[in-house]
Parts: sequence; C-alpha cells; structure tokens
Amino acid sequence: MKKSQANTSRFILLPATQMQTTPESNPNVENFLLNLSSHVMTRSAVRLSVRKSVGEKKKDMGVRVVDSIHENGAKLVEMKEHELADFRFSYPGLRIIPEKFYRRAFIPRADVMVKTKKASVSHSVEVFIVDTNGNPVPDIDVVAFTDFANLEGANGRTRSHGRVTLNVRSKKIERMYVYPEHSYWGYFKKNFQIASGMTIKLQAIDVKYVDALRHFYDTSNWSRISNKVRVAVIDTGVGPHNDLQVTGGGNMVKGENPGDYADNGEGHGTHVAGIIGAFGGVHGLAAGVDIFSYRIFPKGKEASNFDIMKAIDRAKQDSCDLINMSLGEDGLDEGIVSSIKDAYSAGILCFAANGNEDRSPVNFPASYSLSLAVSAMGRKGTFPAGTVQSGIVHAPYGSDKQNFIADFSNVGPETDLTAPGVGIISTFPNNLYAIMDGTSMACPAAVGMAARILSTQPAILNMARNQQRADEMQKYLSTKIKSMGFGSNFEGKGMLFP
Amino acid sequence: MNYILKYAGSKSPDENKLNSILRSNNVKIVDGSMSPKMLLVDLGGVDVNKLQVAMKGEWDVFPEKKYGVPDTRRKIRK
Repeated sequence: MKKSQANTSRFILLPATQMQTTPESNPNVENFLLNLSSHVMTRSAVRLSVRKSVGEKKKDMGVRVVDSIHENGAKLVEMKEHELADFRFSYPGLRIIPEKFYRRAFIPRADVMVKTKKASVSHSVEVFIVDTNGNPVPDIDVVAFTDFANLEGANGRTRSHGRVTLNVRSKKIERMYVYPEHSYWGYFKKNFQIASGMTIKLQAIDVKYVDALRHFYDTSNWSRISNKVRVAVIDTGVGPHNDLQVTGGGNMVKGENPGDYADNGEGHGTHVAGIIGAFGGVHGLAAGVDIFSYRIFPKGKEASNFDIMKAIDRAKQDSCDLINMSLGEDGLDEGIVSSIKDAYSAGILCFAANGNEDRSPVNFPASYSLSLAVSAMGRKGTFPAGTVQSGIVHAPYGSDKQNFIADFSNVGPETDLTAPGVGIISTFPNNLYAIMDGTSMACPAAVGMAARILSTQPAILNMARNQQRADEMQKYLSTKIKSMGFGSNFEGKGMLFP
Repeated sequence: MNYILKYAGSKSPDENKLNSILRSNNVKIVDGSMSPKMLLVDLGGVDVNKLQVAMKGEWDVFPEKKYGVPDTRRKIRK
C-alpha cells in the first residue's frame, strides 16, 4: 500500500442543503445519518459497504464517527483519504467538507517584493509555419522558452505569410510549442539550437484519427442514445457546426443578445459540446443527447459567477439532467455553492473540471462535494509524434503503462473521476475541427459517458426531480466505473465505461 | 464592488421592500434579469454588512467573482 493511501482525515458530513435533513432530503440520507448517530465516539469504526464498480470484488470501508450535531444532522467522521471517492459514489447526497482549523486573526508581515530581471534580448529569429503542402499558415501562436522553469522566452503569432519573429536571449531553446487554434495538430520540440528561417510543418487534423477519446470509446460505431437526456454546457456558447444540434439555451452575459447562445468565437464551448454529442464528421459520446448551451463567457473576457449562477438556474428551469462546467478557479465561491445545491435538489448532477495548473489542488467548483470532479488522462500513441501532446506525458502511469495522468491536471482527494483529456479531436465553430487538451475536455468526456449510461435507465430519469433522483443517478454511474490504476488522488474512483 | 443578492426565503420575495432597501442605501442594480429571485448589484461605498442587516437575513449576499476560460497553453512570464 502506498504511504499516502493510509492517511486518515476528518470530514464533516452534511445533508445536501441544510445542517439537518429536511422533508426535501432523500430518506436514505436521513437513515444514513441516523445510523451514524448511534456510533458517536465508539472506538471502533463503522463498517460501510462500498458500491461495486465493474470487475470489483465486494468490499467495505471503515468510518469512525467522532461527533454529531443532531441525530439527523452534521457528523464529524474519520476515514481514509483514498476511500473518499468510494464513499462519495456509495453514499451520494451528502456534502463532505474537510475539517478545518482557524487561527486567531493577526496582521501578517508584508511579503518581500522581488523584481524579476527583464531578460535581455540578443537574438532575433524568424520561424516559418507551413502546412504539409508547404503553404504558409497564418494566425498560429508560437512560444519558445529559453528557461522553462522561470517561464522566460519569447512568443508571437504568425502573420499572413506564415512567419513570426521571436526575440530571444539565447538560441538554445529548452521548449518550443506551436499552438494552432483549429484545423491542425500543434508542434512541440525540446532542447535544440534555433536558427532563423526554421520551418515547421503542421499536420492537418484527420477526423478519422483514433485519439485518446476514441481509443477508449469507439464512438463512430455507437448508435444514438435511445432515451432523452438533457445536458447543459455552461461555457463560451456552442456552434454553429453541422455535427451539432443545440436544443436550447440562453446567453447569460449582460449586454449581449440573450437569444444568442452560439459560440462567442473562442471555440471552447463548441469543442466541449462536440465531445458530448457530436454526430457527423466526429462522434461524441452521447450522440442524440439534447444539448443546452448557456453562454457565460464574453469573448476574450472572464465570466462572472452571477452569470454562472444564472446559467445553473436556467438549466434547472429547462429540466436538464446533467450540467457540464469546464471551468474553475481556486477558493470557494458560496454563490455557486448555493446554485449547485439548488441543482442537486432538483435532481441534476453537476460535473466540473479539476483545473489545469500542473498538479495544483482541485479547482472550485470541482472541489465542492456535491459536484463530480474530473481529472485528465492521456494515452501514448494516440497523438502524432512531435505534437504538443508529447510534452504532456507525465507520471503516474496506470495499470496499462501507456496511460498517464496529463502533466497539467490538478489532482487531490476531491477527484471523483478521470477521463481522456489529451489530444482530443472535436468540433470548432463554423464547421471546423480542433485539437484541445485539458480537464475541460475530460469533464465533457465524463458527462457524455454519464449521459449514455443514464439513457439506458428510464426508471431513474423518470423519477421526481429531487435529491433522491440525483443520488440514484450517481449510484448507478458508480457501477460503471473502472479503476485505471492511477491511485485515488489522480483518478478518484476511475473512468466511466458503457 | 459588485455583489449577488439571492433570495433565501420560502415565500415569494417582496420586491417593493427590496427596492426600497436598495434605494435607501444607494445600491445600484447592475443586472436585474433574474429579479426578483436574484440580482447583481453595485454597492459603491456601502458596507455589505449594513446591507445584510437591512435585509434581515432574507437574502444571501455573495461577492461577484470572475472565471477564465481554462487553457493548457504554456505562456511566457511577462
């Protein structure tokens, strides 16, 4: 057993909305809390059965009940950190908050301000970006690091003739990244001497290429889902794209046309939606799903939590079943917490991306216990050599050593699931295709798979829209999760399979 | 600074009462598209605690926060 897996921590268990269960609460949640009340301060741990995943043997876990506030209310418990994901999927409908200790307020000493030395420029080099036929490709971002650890180097965008000039301190380049917005794979090279006139050929996207998503999920041979499932995509907007049908939605951004929920041009939301429900040139995981697009990002700007809250509320009004939030920041946001609670109480499951800050703690809202947090994994051999994705390969590797957790993926005990998020081919506005990486792509992969799995369960989908419905959806999904062997901090309970 | 007001009561919110509190505290409505359940307001120089007291716990008050479009592209430190 790994040392980290034996760590025991204390957590506060709370019903979905209040300190105690209410008439709206799932009776199973109330019974669970009442049962734990009878074990307060007993020395031995309560043995709880764990919901089995695909191929898993029957198992249980120990939870010690330390304290309680009301029999049907908050419980302070001790459990092993690596069993958190198992607990969340086995006993959904509970908020799980790590116990936290507060110090007396005091005035901290002012941080010492360190001024970064401005890198002196001594070399001006021109880089030429072309396609495989030698045609120049404009509007491509090129980033060259002379000191990657300190993020020093130069960047630029190719002009109409495919050329960009980089002013670098040294010709020894530690890392070079070339990022096309769409239509091509990117480019990556490490540790080389750059010379002016360097030409880089970009490989065009072939939509039939077997990327990481299609390695695990043979989407091109999957039929459309049989029962209606509604998925909310809270993002930059969706489409237009011939592979995507958007059932409804709204633009939440003040000052913009409320009826314009197409993509704002950045393409992030269209890529996310394609992973979930594209059907045409590429196939998403749940073709036939009803996609609702709620635009919250003004072009080139950040989104307000107010607009995210509006979007969650609209998704509730539109009777969505699942919400995809490929977004996040650090720190808690009580406003969005209240909206996720509302959604859960209306029988909706919220999925959120772990975040892309290189193994930092899981972002909010993924870190919130009523949402499902998704990390990003990749697989060697599912992207061409020399592309950006080859720079993303990083330990830990799974039980199949070709699989890895993406170097950018945030990780931590709040992680519930992992899904492919490296080198993913999906839709881009105006009938284009793009390669994107991120927990932003892993999140809709999990959502799409969840939609496909739940579409086979009309009895759950037809339940009254309350917390019990959300609990049952989560419980059913837990039976379709397979561990990939990364460890719970990296993959939660594992990956969803049909 | 902007704040979000979200109605926490079980009955319908009293819009007239809310508007009167906002007016008397010189609070500007920035986005009233979800009114009367939820509003985005600009408090200007008004103390948020003073506003919460005036609303007698019927409304939750959250600070506005911004979220960026996630990106994995490596960037030069400026």
